[in-house]
Amino acid sequence: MTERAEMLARIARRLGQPAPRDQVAWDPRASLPERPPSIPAAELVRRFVAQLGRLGGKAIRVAADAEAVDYVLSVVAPDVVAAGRGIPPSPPAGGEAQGAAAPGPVLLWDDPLLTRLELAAALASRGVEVSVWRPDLGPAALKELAARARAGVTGAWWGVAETGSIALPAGPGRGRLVSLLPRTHIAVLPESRLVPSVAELFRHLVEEPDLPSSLALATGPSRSADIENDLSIGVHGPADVHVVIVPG
Amino acid sequence: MAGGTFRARARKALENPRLRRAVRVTMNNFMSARRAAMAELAQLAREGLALGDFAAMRERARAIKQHTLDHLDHYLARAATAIGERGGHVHFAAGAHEVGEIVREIARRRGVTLAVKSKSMATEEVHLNRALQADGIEVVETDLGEYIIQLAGETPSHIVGPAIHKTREEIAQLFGRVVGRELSTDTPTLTGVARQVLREKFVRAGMGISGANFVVAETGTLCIVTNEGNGRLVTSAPPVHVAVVGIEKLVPTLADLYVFLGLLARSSTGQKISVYTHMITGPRRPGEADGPEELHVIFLDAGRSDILGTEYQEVLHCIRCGACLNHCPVYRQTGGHAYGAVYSGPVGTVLTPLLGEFRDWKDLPAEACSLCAACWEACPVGIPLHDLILKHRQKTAREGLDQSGLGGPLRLGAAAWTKPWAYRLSVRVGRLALRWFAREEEGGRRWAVKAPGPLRAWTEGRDLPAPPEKSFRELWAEHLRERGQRA
Ligand code: SF4
Repeated sequence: MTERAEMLARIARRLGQPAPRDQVAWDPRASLPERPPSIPAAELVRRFVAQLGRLGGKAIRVAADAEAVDYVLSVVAPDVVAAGRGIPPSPPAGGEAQGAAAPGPVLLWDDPLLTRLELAAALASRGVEVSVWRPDLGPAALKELAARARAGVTGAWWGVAETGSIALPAGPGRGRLVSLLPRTHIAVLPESRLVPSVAELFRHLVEEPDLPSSLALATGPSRSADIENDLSIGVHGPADVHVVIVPG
Repeated sequence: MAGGTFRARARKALENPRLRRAVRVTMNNFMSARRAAMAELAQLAREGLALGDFAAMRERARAIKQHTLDHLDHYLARAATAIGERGGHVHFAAGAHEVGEIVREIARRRGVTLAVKSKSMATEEVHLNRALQADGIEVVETDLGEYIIQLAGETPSHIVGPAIHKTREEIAQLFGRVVGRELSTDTPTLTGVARQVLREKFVRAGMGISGANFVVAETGTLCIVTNEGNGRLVTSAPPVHVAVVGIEKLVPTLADLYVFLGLLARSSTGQKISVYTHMITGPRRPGEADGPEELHVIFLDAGRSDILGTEYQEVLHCIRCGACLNHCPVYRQTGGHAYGAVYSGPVGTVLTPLLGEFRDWKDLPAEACSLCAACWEACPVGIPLHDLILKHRQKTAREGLDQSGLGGPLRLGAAAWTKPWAYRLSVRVGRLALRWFAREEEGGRRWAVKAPGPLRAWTEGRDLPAPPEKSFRELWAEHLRERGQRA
């Protein structure tokens, strides 16, 4: 095997240096726009909703926490909502693409934002099977849960209006698989975390003292065009993506 | 090296109209999406939402790459240290063999029997799958396109769309063999089957293998970009993650990463950003229940350091977006397999002879390029690919490797054209000779497709319209005579 010192010395030699260099001057500020733009929050919301919609995802701005709960419920258990309104259940439309018709629990991040919404309790009280990503359940059980879940519900660190992206950090209560294995992914995003552009997202990221072990910037549903250029959704990641923008 | 010559492989591709149509349609889609994305980028720049338009972003990207490569010893050390501090293991591999050894050793220690892979040109380059399969390890490509060509036992025909040459009927047959039943050929069925089969692999695999599009030296962050999400699954679900990364993939800081993300998807498929941009900083941390327990980063040289400090250094700027392929008039006719190597199109024409034995690949720069420079215009990191191809040709001539038979006639021509009288004579002789050998084509135009003697080598690769009866000089002289002036 090649040793680190050997590889570095070889590269230095190729570059005409007697030895690897310890110090290099570099100013990364020129890689970002000079100053942040100022765009009103309502406009950011409008752009985010439009962008995600264009990609086949759905974003919605709600005025109160209770509305967020209703929206999540309408996605993960439309039959329950319909029954509540006195609408008789309709037979599920064919195909496994019907996320809501699929069995399995709704898997939630253990996250202060979702706790604030009391989402787990609200879903459970309506008869929806709910599980929370608690690391003490053990990796194997959690992986199995995520593979079986009908939907994953997460928070989001940032949202990007330019692209309709959300930034999903990993952490003890924030399993990576929650936004990855279930066919439906719902992210809850506080309005104050919306930034105008990818550039502004990075302006925030460079300020972070420590990046999480995994940070996924997810932009709409999983897509592929590998079969005769025909767009297909959800080949690996979620096919059905929702972002609920809540006050705060 | 690949079997045969570029010429032979290209001829085979040209005889396949279905392939040519598939390549053209895909390329046109990519190109028009790219144009729209670039126009939108200019608009963002005006609003202060992006660093700049395409030209400005590319200038910055070029400056970052040049700086990083000029100080690669420093940045590689920095990245290795940062990854180590986050609990990752760093390895260095001089070539293909060492990568194989390192990964096999990890697999043995962890008792891995199944590995899932996300698309990676670096692992393709070092034939990692073969090395692992030799140990009885099942290796599954999970990018849908890569999975298709893995089942077919073929190689990628495009950096971004590896399976653009396969029809849905062929794909249905390949997948049908896997699940043991006949499948309909519609896209939802085929993707559904792939999802189901690969899902089970993700959950069972003992190792995930990926490349990385970028590595941030300052933080030790690996950045992996995919549209399907397989990149995230490969690096999140299995207990071990191994990333094989070319040493040229480094960027100094997170801010610099922004510049490349702004260019990559727009240049590649015309998206503003790929669906998943995954940034990995170390393995799973205490208290976390998923993500790899072990993270290994293998920095791969495999000929790259030999390019450093040479006139070809800029080819190491490449971010593998595929734009140069899409814009290349040769690639658009032949597709990727004609290049006979892992990297195709203009970037392959430059890179393949550098990474392999020059002598074996000198026909790529000699034949697979018209020097139109469309690749350079499209390249988001501003690599002067056409210039580098010309340098390859000069090298071929300098080292006496040219076997086309054109050297003699060209030298003769060069000598003749130093004297006006000899120039006039040679043009007249050449014109008459070409007219003599031209043949009629439909539409009434005459083409010289094959001339004998010294003109043969030239006309073999090119069809020339038959020269007109009179040359411009003759017409001009006549014109002056008619007006009573002397030539
Ligand atoms: S050479 Fe330039 S255009 Fe071609 S793949 Fe690399 S970055 Fe893209």
